[in-house]
Amino acid sequence: MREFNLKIIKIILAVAVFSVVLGMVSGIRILKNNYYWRTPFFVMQYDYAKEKLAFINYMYGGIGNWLGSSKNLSSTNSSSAETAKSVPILLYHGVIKDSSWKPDDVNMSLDDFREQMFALKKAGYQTITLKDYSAFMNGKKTLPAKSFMLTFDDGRKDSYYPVDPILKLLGYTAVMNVITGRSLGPENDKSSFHLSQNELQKMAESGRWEMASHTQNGHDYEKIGPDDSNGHFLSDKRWLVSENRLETDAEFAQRVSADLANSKRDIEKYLQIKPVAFAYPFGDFGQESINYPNSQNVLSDVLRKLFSITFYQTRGSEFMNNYPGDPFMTRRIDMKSEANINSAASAKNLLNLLDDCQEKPLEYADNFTKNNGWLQGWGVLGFNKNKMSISDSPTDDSGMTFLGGTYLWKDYFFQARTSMQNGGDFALAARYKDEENYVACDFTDIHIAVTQRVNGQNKPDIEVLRQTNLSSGRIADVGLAVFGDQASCFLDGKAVVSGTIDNALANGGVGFKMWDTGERKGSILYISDLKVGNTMPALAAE
Amino acid sequence: MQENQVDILERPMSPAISYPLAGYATEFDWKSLFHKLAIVVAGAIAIFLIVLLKSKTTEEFLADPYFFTYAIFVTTFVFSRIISAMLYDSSLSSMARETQAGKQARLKKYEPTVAFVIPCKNEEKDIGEAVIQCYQTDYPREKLEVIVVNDGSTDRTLLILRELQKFYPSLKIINWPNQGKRWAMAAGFRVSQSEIVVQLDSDSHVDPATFRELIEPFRNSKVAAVCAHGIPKNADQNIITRMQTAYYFMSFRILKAAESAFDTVFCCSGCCSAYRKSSVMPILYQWLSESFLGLPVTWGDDRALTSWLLKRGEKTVYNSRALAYTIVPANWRQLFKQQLRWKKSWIINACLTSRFIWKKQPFVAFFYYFPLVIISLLAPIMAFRALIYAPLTHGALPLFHIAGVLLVTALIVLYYRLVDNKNKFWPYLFPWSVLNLFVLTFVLIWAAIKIQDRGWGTR
Repeated sequence: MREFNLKIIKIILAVAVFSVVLGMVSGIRILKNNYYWRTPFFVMQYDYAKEKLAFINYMYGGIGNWLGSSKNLSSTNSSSAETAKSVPILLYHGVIKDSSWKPDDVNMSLDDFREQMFALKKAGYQTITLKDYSAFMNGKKTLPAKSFMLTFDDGRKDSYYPVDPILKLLGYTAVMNVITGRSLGPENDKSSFHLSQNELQKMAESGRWEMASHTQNGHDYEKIGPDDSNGHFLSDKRWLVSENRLETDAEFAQRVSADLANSKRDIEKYLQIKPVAFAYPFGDFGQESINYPNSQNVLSDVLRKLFSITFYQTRGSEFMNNYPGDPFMTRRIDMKSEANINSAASAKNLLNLLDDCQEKPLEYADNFTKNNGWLQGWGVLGFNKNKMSISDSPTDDSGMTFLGGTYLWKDYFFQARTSMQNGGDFALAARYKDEENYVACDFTDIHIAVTQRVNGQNKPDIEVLRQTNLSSGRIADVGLAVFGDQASCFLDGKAVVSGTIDNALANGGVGFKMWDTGERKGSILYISDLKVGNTMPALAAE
Repeated sequence: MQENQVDILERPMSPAISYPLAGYATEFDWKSLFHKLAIVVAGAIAIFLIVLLKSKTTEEFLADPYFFTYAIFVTTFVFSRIISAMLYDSSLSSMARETQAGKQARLKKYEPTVAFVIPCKNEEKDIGEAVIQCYQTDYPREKLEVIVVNDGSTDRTLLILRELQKFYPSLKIINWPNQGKRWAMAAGFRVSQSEIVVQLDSDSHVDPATFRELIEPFRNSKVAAVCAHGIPKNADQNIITRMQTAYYFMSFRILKAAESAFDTVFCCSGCCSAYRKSSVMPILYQWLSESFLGLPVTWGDDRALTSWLLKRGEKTVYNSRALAYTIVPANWRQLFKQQLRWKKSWIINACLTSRFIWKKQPFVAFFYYFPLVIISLLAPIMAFRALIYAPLTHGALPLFHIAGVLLVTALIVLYYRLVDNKNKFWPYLFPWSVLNLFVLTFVLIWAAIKIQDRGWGTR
């Protein structure tokens, strides 16, 4: 009896010890992999409380004031019934909490990000979803005036964990562009840098995050020649080392389309989401190709079959917002490169930038007491003594600026008083969309011409030869009238040359360009007394 | 002299603190049900938190297999102790039911002859009470034998004993020059004419009311030693004694109970244990002449004696219903010296025991004893890594490590509360485990270094 009892006790203990080991090992495994019990989730809950306090302080200047108020933090204060004519889209990568982090070209500190988001919220901005965006672009939906979209590239953990509490607090949504080959699939569960399938699922479930593609494995550099040269996966032909040759057109198309289709399939398979958007890695849609300029067309053909929206990053010389039309090739404002150009990292500059990009009414006058929305394409832009100046820069022998919020202008008469210093020639631009699409009047010492550029191709100039003496600094009243398909250049109040505008240039904004002539450097164009009116001037022939 | 004598006899007995260890309520009691339910819920939470903490502090198995294994191993060990302790009651109650004959015998009163052996040296303050307590035991006087071994006292101990002999003529006094406690105990074994020999410290006594519980397990003829449940008499003296009171409860009612579930208590504690004389006599000489690294072993007599019994294949058990009171150190110096002595004796006995236990008790050896040895050796290394190495090299505070220790303590405390919800010393188990982590763990290393210092150290 006793020995039997002892045996039973031994068996019970052995089974219990075995169960304890099994229970603990599997318990640890489960807790390690369970989204809600992992440390980042705990930290996020704590962060949410912290962000809430910070936001209360930001909005109300203290808890006490907040308690006395209606306490609704996530409601927008945009009271205007105005609707948006265009939508800006912001691009971020990592948002870094670590205070010892040294600023780089890609990421942003949490402090800067938080300040931007709080400022946007306070100013009445509200995020939109991809669906809203598509509907807006297709003209099926109107949006409140201060609408914008948030996007994060690369599917990084540090784009989610510090950011999500802020989105939740402000009632914002964002789009995560996922490199599926690094995030999805069981082999990527343990990444410490990229979000895992499980995390992406939880993000999607929260309703605050939408998923888009950022290639499967295409966010890489690859060998593009027998030497050490490297190029982008999506825009350059790969060097096949074993065969000592570049891949053929067909091989390129095959490789690229497989990767892009796989990225879409991955998102469908692992996240049960049908992705509608794609973001070009490095913002390179083929324009940066080194060995295969046609990649732009190949990419475009492939992507059109897979996604209705593609994102790239704006360069300085184009409008930053998106206007109703095809959402393929949607522009985004890279918050880091804008930070470099316009130090938009500060919340105030970001708000100014978005303000500048808001549509301006067509009757427009500018006395240049400050920058009222002129965006710098290249060269150097300055404002002084009620004048705007454009000059070349050490790297460019020309300068260009255009007025934000004028993209939708159609028929107008654009006049200004100019003075071209230190030699050089200049042009007034109208119906400006980007540096590949505009109408201009070139003013040189010897001629005045209506010029046009459509999709990067120059149209034949319509010019008159004339001794103008403009390059010597003479103050001149110049103008450019665009009404319907007619463009006319004005000098000293008189129309000097006219031409017919290409159909593609139906709308666009105003701008200036100047360039050095010959070997001379350092020319500066001064501009004052700018007016844009919507009445057609008399085209009195001389 | 006369005055002294009166003084001895009239000194009040030490307060009989009530520790109803087996006091399970028999009638249906909502309050106790609620209490148990609360403990089960709290236990589940504690277990969950322990696993959660482990999931935060350990890498994946493949990333750091050694640390992961250690983490699982050490926690499993604690769980296995609690589970074994849970099995203890069932084990003890089946003790006398071994055979049909045993069952019959159980119906009869079991009253073997019993001898108390009290070795003492310069114990004039305590010896009187110790002897009187023996005679107050609830047991037929004619079956009781009390033997005091005066091991060369230089104070009035002998005088007091002589006076006591006038009241208790049966009191046997062995008086010889100092030879050490082990020899004094051995003399007791030799001189006694009883079946059962109860070895007592001069400052401890058995609770007269529960004395029979100490003898009861000997009904089973294979039981060679029974250890009583030790309770500090001076529990409420200060924080040090309170912590030790909690520690004693844990070490007896949980750790010894766990050992006893398999009839292999590894140390029948010196403060009060009973031995079957016929089992001890064959190994008496080996026990007496024990030496380690060429020097005689002067402490840890209780642990050593138990080890020799286990080596013979005897059963040693613990009875939680037999209570014994003892004095615990009330200042840090004495506590550390006692701990140092205990750790030294633990090291020496681990060397002895490890050599035979896997043959005699393979299950206990692999499920308990060898894991215990491994953990005891690794614990100081792990504590060093968490408390000193990591903070110095990575600036990482050992918060997780301390939290882990406290959580495991909490689990033990919950079982403690389940076993005896009236014992009020449980909160002191937390400071004790912190003390253990920061100091006592490292005392083992010190003990290993000073192993050849065979001095007594206290008293």
